[in-house]
Amino acid sequence: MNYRIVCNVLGKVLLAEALLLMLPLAAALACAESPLPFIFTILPLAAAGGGLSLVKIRKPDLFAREGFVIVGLSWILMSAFGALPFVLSGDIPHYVDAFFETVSGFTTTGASILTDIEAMGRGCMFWRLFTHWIGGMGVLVFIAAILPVSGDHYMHIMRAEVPGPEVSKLVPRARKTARILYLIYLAMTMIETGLLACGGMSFYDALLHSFATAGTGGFSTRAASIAAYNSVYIEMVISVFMLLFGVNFNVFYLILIGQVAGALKSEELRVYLGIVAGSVLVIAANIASQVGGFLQGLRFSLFQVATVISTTGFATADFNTWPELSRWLLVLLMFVGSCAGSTGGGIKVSRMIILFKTYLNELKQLILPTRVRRIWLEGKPVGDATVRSVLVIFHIYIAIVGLSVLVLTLDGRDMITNFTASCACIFNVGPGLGDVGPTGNYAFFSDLSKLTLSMEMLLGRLEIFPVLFLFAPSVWKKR
Amino acid sequence: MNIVIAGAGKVGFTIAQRLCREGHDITLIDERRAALDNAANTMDVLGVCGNCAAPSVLKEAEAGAAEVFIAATGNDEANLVACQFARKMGARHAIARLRNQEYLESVDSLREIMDLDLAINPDYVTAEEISRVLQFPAATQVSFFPDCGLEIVTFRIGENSRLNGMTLNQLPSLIKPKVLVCCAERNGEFCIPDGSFVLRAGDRISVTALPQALRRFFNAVTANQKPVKNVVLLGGSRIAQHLTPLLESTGVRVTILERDYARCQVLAETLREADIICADGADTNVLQQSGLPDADGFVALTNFDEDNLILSMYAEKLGVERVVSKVNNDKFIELLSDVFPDSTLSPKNLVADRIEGYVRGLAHASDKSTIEALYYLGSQNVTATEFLVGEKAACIGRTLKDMALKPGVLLAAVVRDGKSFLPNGSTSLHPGDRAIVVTANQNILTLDAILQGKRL
Repeated sequence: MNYRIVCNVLGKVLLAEALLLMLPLAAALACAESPLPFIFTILPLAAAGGGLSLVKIRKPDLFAREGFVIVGLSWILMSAFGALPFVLSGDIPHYVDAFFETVSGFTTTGASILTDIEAMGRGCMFWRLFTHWIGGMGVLVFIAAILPVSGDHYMHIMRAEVPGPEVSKLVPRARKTARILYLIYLAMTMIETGLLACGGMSFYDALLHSFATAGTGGFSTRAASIAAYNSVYIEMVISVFMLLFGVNFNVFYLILIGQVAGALKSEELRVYLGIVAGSVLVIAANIASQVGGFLQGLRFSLFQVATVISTTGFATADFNTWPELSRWLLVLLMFVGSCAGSTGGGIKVSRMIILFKTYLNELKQLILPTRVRRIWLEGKPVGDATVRSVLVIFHIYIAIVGLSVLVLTLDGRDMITNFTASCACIFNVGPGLGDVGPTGNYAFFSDLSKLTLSMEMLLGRLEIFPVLFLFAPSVWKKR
Repeated sequence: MNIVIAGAGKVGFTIAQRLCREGHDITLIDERRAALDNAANTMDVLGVCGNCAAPSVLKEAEAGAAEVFIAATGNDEANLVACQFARKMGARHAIARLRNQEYLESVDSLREIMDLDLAINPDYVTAEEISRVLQFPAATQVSFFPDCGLEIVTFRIGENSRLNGMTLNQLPSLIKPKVLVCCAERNGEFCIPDGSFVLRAGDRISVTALPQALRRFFNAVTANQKPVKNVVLLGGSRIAQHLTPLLESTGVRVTILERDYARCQVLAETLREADIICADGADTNVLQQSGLPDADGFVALTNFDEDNLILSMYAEKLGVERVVSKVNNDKFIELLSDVFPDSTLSPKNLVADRIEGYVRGLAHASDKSTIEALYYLGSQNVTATEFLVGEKAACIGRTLKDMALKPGVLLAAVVRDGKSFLPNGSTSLHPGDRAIVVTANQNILTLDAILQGKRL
């Protein structure tokens, strides 16, 4: 293990977080609130970051192992420091609660322990929603875009942070790829802010909700989430953007360079849109009688399907009270999640496609054992190593969901609450069913359960391995 | 610049590594996913999986938008087809690696018909380099600048050498032919030495001089002045096939050891003068019988680095004066540089030197200066670059004394109207001159950059 390079990059990550904290600091000053909670967070961050980044890199060797450790530790440290403003300002006095809220922000989950959201200060509220935007595209990708990092090995870091079974670059240079990704991200966020501001939201609310949509997070400035605005226009804008941010950013890049036809041919995009369309129709029909007509049903089902499959977690309706079919369909959508290379969570559509094709292949193999077949995705054969990693990651997800529920049961809640809380956290959705439904929150869980769920959120956002690796002794051995 | 390289094998990988380090955007094409994964894990490049001669694959790699397209697969025909497609799609320049003798015989018309800018044959390039190295006793590397007829010879100072203990200031008074020491390596550290530098046994130094003077210098500093007469080649590869006529033209007797009988017959058909022996060169008895103890040159050219290195050591032990081995894996040399013989050549590095020089020339050409050729001296840090001085170069009209060169930059030689000379304080540069600059500074990409205070 090359500890020096790990320390150096971690230092840069902390410095970047200190830099990003300037924005909520400015927001606090603009709203005439005390800037002290932010200043007292920025100072230790800058000191720790500055100190660590002074560590000289003797050997530039950085391999998959260092990449995983850097990403895993970065996210944990960022959340640990990022929780400080909430504690210092007194908005969330208990540190474990603040940590849960920050992890939920960075991992773009959107699960909240806040019982009175509107009481929070504007500076802290800005930070709370801004963490979604930072976590959506990833802080290490951000660093790659702005700092001159030695590019030869940076792919090991990007690969650990960017979700999806196979991470590919858009252009030869990692740095340019990171810049293009952030530019697309920034541009789409600004367009959404503009559209929301046109729909009657205040600029502050529009910007913050755009942060939360862009990262597919789900925090809101209102206790009733998007339902508080009761505007079909705002719901439609947010639905469309939630779905867009759940699409692989490669598609946007292709459209940007004029290859629209190639972009729309994407198998993953088509399956994703197909799942959305099917679910919206089934749920709309299912809830039509309850909400007063099919059109009204479409309005609610489109928003709820978009919010769950993109793993955002806003709400315009309490789907907890919907018929069982709709409720279960939404839970299944949590598993599927968004496309690879998007800002959303979940197992990812492309992995699901590979899984189902593998199942079919195995069935055909049983009928004709000597038959040799490859699995195809996007018109290309998928390597055996990729298929194996997809199978493994799927099973690890299931195992973690199951084992975490075991911890949650200690709090004595019902099985639906525990199971959907576990799913909503690991797939970075936010609201689940039962007591953690759209109108509920996670405040009632014990500290142990909150830490377990925080770990789940990190495991889900970083796709298991970077976090899991931190617990493996062999990773820390000197090489 | 955007550069697309087809083939992520030894040669393609090395070229990609060098050009990536120079700051170019590289896309690699290969049919083997594992090779691409390996490349993507060690350098900042994009990989495209597929057959490089297929238009769809070239399109995916955006070969049409490439400034330079380099086809470096092991298949000549695929390289030619890929280059032609790439040029038709809009690639500005195309470079192909060609190994087949028949194609090379008509290389000029091939270049014209196929729209190639450069056809490069690793085997021939290696053979040329070996034949030059064999001409100088103790030389480990000879960098030849064809347009000016100048050579920079790198060699290690032996224990009994007259140079041992001499300062560079003393050098002109003690050894008659005037030479310039361009760079010195001691214990892995490189420097551009000044007059007070003391030469020691074990140093590896690079010297240049006027063409005739260089040979006389070597005769003066080495005990054995006899030109090489008998050379044993181990392995009848393509390199051997190119090397044999080059050596024979200077009056050298060549013996080739080759294991494969069919290959021996092919060699016997094309190389009539040479002794072709069908035997396993790894057998020391065979080496003894083929006259290795009496030979004064040994070149190991098998496809196995380990065989080449170990048998070269054996040949040195037998007292063979000049030993050269072909080694593909640079790491072997790095790891055991004290143990292995000094003269090791790697075809992929020689090809990469040529292509890097060519690409630097394209990337930094202006009316101030143009890069004509580039060599690495000894390591991957010190370069010798031949610049063509342009009309608007900043150093025109100033004498070398007034130029204020950056530290660690040496103007090694100047060629004017076909006549070369070693520069002194009163030398000045004119447009059309060729200047050879030696430096460890990686940012010297234009002639102006050698001056203090000038950036790229």
